Amino acid sequence: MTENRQTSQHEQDRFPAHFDSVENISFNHRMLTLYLIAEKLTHLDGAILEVNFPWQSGLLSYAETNAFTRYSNQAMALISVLLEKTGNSEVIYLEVDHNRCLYSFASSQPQQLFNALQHMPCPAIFAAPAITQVDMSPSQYICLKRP
Amino acid sequence: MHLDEPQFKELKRARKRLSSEYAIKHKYHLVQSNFELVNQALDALLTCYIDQALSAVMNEAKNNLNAAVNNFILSARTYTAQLKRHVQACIPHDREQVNRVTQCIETEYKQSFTFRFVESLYDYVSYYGLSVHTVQIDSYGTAKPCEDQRRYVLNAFIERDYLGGPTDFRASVLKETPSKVDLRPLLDEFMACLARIHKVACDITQAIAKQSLYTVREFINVFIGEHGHSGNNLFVVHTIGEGQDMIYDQFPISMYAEHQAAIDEYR
Repeated sequence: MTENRQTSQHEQDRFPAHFDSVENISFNHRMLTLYLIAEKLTHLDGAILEVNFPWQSGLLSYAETNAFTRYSNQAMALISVLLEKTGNSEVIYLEVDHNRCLYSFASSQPQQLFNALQHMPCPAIFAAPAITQVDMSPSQYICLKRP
Repeated sequence: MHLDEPQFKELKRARKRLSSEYAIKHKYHLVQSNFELVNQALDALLTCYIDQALSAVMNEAKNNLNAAVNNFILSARTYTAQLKRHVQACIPHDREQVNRVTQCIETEYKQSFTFRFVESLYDYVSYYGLSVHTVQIDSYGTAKPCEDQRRYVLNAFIERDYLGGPTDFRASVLKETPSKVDLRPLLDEFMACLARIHKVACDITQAIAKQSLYTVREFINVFIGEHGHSGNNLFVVHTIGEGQDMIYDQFPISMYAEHQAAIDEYR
């Protein structure tokens, strides 16, 4: 089935406008990924920084119904907060599962981005992140990630 | 209206052929209806997702999808398993034509993984029931900020690992099953296989069904001539004495001859 959904002024789209999403829902596994749309991606270059935030211990429980949707919505809302604090960069990829949130940034100045991330306070829902640089262009990175 | 023995036998034979032909079409319509129900259940599940429904509502939508898939598999096997018998009942003396149906089913089985997989799912469904294992929802964003339209696509998958080992599922088919089977194209292709088989069966039975319908209508017309009307539903009754418990055999005829759907089929 394909459905086009016109969101009204009162009904907020769950996903940030410039992202495609893929969500897998299985018996005991759920994963949401966001990919910056191709039109935006082609204008980007520079390096990739992966910021891997584990959830705060015990926050995301399988027992609590609707927890995944609630916390993944919070993770998506954080994209604009992170961009505000890190300046000249773009989030191109987000992966949310029951263990962690992985934000992938594209930046022409990765060292500055790294420093900004180091100095910003850790969002309350996450434990301390691990930051890794990936030697790949944004397009190559998304191409690799996208099924 | 009294019938003599040859008339009774003629009507009984015509009714048997009509009911067999009706069963072929009725069972095919059941599969088609279940196919529609699967699609509706997939649509309902996607609507729940878009509306961010509560888990309880999502679970109910998933249960409806599983029920529709199970019913589809069961009705499909009911069709393929009984088809030869129904065709044979229509043309008991034409072995060659009956074999055409068997060969057609065998050809589909040999040529189509989809057909083999759905056929094999019947055994699995009978024993374990079947759940759709994974649901994937893709959505597509837009580059223009003024556009607030997002397109959603839902796919449901049966996963090989969840089907178990060769003791749980037909081993030869399990061996060729990919890790994930997308439900929607699977059922689309299976319906195409079934449509080919159904056409062969209908082509074989059409002439004899028309002839049988003509026979039954002739008797109904004689009844109308005698009584001035056909009543609501005519039954042929073979009695061996007076009273309800003396009925030896009984069968309906109007339901085949005056059934609107049947009339449409032979128009």
